[in-house]
Amino acid sequence: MRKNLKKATKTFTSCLLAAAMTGSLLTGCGPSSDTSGSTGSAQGTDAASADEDAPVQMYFLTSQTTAEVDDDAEVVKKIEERFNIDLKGFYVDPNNFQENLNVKFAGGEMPDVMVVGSPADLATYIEGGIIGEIPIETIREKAPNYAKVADEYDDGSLWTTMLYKGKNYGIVNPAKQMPMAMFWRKDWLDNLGLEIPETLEEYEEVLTAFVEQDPDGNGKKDTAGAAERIFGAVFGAFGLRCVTGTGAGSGFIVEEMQLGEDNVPFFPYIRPEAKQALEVLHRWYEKGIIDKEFITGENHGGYAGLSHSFMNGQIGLTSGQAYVYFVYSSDMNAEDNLGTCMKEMVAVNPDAVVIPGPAPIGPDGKSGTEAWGKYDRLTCLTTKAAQDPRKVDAFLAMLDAYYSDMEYAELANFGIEGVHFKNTDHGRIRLMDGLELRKEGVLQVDFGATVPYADNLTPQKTQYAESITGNGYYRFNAPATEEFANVISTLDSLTEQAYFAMITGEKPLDYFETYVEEFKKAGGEAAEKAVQEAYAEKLAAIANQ
Amino acid sequence: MAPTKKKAGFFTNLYRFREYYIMLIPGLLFFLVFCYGPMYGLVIAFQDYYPLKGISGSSFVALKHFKTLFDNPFFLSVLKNTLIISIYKLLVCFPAPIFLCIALNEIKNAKFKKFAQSVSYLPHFISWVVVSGIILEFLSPSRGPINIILQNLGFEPIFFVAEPKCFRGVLVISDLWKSIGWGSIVYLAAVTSIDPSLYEAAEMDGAGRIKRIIHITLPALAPIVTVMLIMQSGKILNDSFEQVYNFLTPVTYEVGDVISTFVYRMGIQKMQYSFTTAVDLFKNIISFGLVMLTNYVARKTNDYALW
Amino acid sequence: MADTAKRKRKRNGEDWFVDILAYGFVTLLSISILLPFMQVITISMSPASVVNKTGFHMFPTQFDFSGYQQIATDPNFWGSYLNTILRTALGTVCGVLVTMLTAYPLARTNLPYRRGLMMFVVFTMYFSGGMIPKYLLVKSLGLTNNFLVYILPCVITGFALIITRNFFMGIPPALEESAKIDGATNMDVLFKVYLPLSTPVVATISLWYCVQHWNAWMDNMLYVTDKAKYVLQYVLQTILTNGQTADMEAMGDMIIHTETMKMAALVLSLIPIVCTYPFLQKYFVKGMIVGSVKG
Repeated sequence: MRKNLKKATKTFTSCLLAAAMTGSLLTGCGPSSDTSGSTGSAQGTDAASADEDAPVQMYFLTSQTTAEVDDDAEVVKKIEERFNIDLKGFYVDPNNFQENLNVKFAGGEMPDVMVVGSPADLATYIEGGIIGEIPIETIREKAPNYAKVADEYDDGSLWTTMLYKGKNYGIVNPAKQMPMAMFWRKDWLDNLGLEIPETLEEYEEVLTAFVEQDPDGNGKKDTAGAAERIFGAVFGAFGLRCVTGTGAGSGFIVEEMQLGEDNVPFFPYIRPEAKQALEVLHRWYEKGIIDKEFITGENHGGYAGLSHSFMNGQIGLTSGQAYVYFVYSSDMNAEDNLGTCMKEMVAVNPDAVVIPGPAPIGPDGKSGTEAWGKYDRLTCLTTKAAQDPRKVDAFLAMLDAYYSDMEYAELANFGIEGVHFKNTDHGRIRLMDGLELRKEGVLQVDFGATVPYADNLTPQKTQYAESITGNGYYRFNAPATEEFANVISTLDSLTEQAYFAMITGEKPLDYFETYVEEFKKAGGEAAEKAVQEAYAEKLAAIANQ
Repeated sequence: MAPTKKKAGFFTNLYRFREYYIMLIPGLLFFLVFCYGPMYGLVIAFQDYYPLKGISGSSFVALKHFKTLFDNPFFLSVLKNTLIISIYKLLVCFPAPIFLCIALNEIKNAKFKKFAQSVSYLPHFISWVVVSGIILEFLSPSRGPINIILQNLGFEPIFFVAEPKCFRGVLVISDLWKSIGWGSIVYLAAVTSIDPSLYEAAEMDGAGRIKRIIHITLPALAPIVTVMLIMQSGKILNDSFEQVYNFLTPVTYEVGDVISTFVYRMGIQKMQYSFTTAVDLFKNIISFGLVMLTNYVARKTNDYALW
Repeated sequence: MADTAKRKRKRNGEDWFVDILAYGFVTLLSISILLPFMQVITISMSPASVVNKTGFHMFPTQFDFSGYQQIATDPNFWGSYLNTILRTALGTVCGVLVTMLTAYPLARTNLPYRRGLMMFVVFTMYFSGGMIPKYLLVKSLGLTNNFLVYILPCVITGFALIITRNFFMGIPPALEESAKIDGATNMDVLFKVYLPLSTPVVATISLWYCVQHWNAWMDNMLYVTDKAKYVLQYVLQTILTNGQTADMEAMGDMIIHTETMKMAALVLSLIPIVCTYPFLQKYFVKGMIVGSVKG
């Protein structure tokens, strides 16, 4: 028997060797990663432009979309004319986006301009030879208006974001990021004769009433107060930024560190104040204020911003971006005022009345909700583009224009009036969906909701959001460090399990200290220190510029 | 009496059986080109691979990724979960299609049989994203029918999906529901080629229904069951990422976090293509080893092993 | 012998037991599958106001076919439907043919190096070089944007091969011998003797290959950029992704009915399968009288 197996294995291994040899012969012994571009009409390869004045071809990869840019669209032509470029979209299928992108790189294709998700991604791309350097002096020289705005809104960390090992690799956009707003069921408040609460104690009173006093008047005790989307506000009442994801059951986002007042980054999850917040959440869970089904999430599918629990009257309080509920006013009947979530809610429950409220104020007077990064939309030039001075110039010119010329910003982001958007008393309203707009060249080369954009092009929206929100805990772009990257997923699992257990009461609150110890031992302490050092280095590097 | 056993040479064999080998050419060519051709990519598991640099341009790091995997404090727990869930599924979801096949075989009403068959495999086509949504609603502690019934009977509602004790059960049963119909197709093929006169003869000999099943239907299924079992055993380290991911929440990590969901979360920070390749290679080595083992065992019991 | 056929046995307790078990189990299973399916169909044609309400929706109360509309009006949809049908037909025929051709020699117990060859095949079922090397291979073979990329790189599966081979091994070798004595070649034996005897397994692997090709979209995503060659599942995936792009800033006021569309997409891709299977079923029901061929 064994002899037969040996024989079979021998046959097999000889087959395998033959196969491997033939196989590699057929494929030419591994890929030749020829970054000088592949043959044929592959994307990202430059058409030979002998004429120095001819428009330079530039491929843009700025968002995950299936839209393919129409070369003949008017917006495209206008942009091309202004900057003397041949605008092309670098198409990557958003299904399995990262894999598709990797496959393109493996084939030697890459865009010219790329938006990157975070400094960690940036580091990987740089190591992988994808992103090219743009010295800060060059940026200041060729995009002075951008530099001016950037300096104005710099809290000291803006210019450090795109630094890696002492060199600069792109730009970030100072964005007018609005923190999350709190949304209440006004009809419930009215039914129970309650006012919108302001402090954490008042919140507890109102939410308890939601649980005990049958606010929807259906005779059943089937309502809870809130679910996981308000966790950020509760932590905010203690000065911390601990954020839950919007997907179902995605728990806490531990990789987002917080920048302290002293300009030192830290992990909010291991601070003693977090225990206080957990105490509150646990108490609320026991009382039924926190919906027991917060574990599976408020969203049950479809558009991630929707809160099915809120829409269906299972809870009376939720949190989210202002504009997904109201665009410019808290009046539910105002024209064109309802955001996506509000529209869906009204369709499900026409009698619901929603009203925004302030984030709860904690015992030490702190309050606030989470916000995305103040410096957003990390945009880079690839190594291919960085080598071509014309592309660098064109890119920086486009950047500068977006920050100084509001008409251009409108063209790049909204399109042409009457075609892509219309002007109303309450601001600009888009006339097509994102896919159609992108096909027409809109939203392909823009830089997002920058500060000048927010102030000039969407003033009503911006002002309204500001009026209903308060302090914002902004996302901090932590510099990429080896120590952090190696352990963060472990820290994530550890934290999520611990926090959920303490909220539901499966583990007592005293467990918090044990958890902190485990966190530090698992590499959390080293990671925090590494990030702090890396950040301090970057600050020093900028100060010397 | 024993003739001189001369072991035929390679080319003699090739010539003698040439007709057969010629028939093998298309299939073998396919495997050679499209399966063994890219096989060199396995080396990525031993590199710090960057797509643009390619294999030749990426640095060799030997077992670094494997170390990262094995050194992780959660690795053992994740491995344990993967194994336990696979074993549960093997015990429950492997026999189930066989049972369904036998049950369908015993149903004489042709119309009902056809109808039931067609219905049974429908869940195979629905993605886990959709199925999990339906199941979450079904098992909801506040709105789900099961809990409503429980409450009416005076019991406390159970949050199945969030209860560590029930979580693996949810995974196994939902997988059973989804795969039983499609899985039974392969057994149906074996069963329908059973000669009906065998049943008649057994009936004449006084064998009851159950005896007929045991002595006719089951043996006819034995070859195919052997093969399926061997291949299934190789999948012991596989897990259905889509299924688990859509049900997993932090409260059930301890019992439900499996290799693929764990690796998925690890990949978010590092975006390392090599790491996932290394994990896959690890899983594949174990799988293939198991297949070799079960195949060896199977060869001792009947003729239908893989090789 | 006529006696046997006419004699009706009395149904005894065991009969009832087995019948109840069999019918009961199958009925329960069918109900447990049909109910969620009714939900799927209902959601596919319901407006968002119904879809977003928690709870079950077995029967449509309000109708909204915008999900179907959005899919059917996609410029690539109908073309991709055709492409998929073409691909499935071609792919299944090629797959079954090559599978049978390969399984037949491997079913001969006296074929030299048979075990090694089997290992050769099974090995590929467990080890793979990964997406990027495969992509580079396909590219170097010139198969990108070529319709053949839907057929060649996946023409057969090791699994189908093994099942077919095992089935062939169950056919008595005497049949081959007697056919060969009558002057048949191997191909004759395969198609004139084995094929008729193997209708169940051929139907099985046909179904598998059919479904594999019908559901395939990843090869489209990686290798094909020519819209005229898109396949159904890929187009559906794309339509669904569009609906889910976190384009909050841009969309602002546009409502995205992803759930409805998802269900509509599911229903649309299921219809042909549901229609094809009954056609294949008759090959499953037709049992083979192996005994009668045994001369």
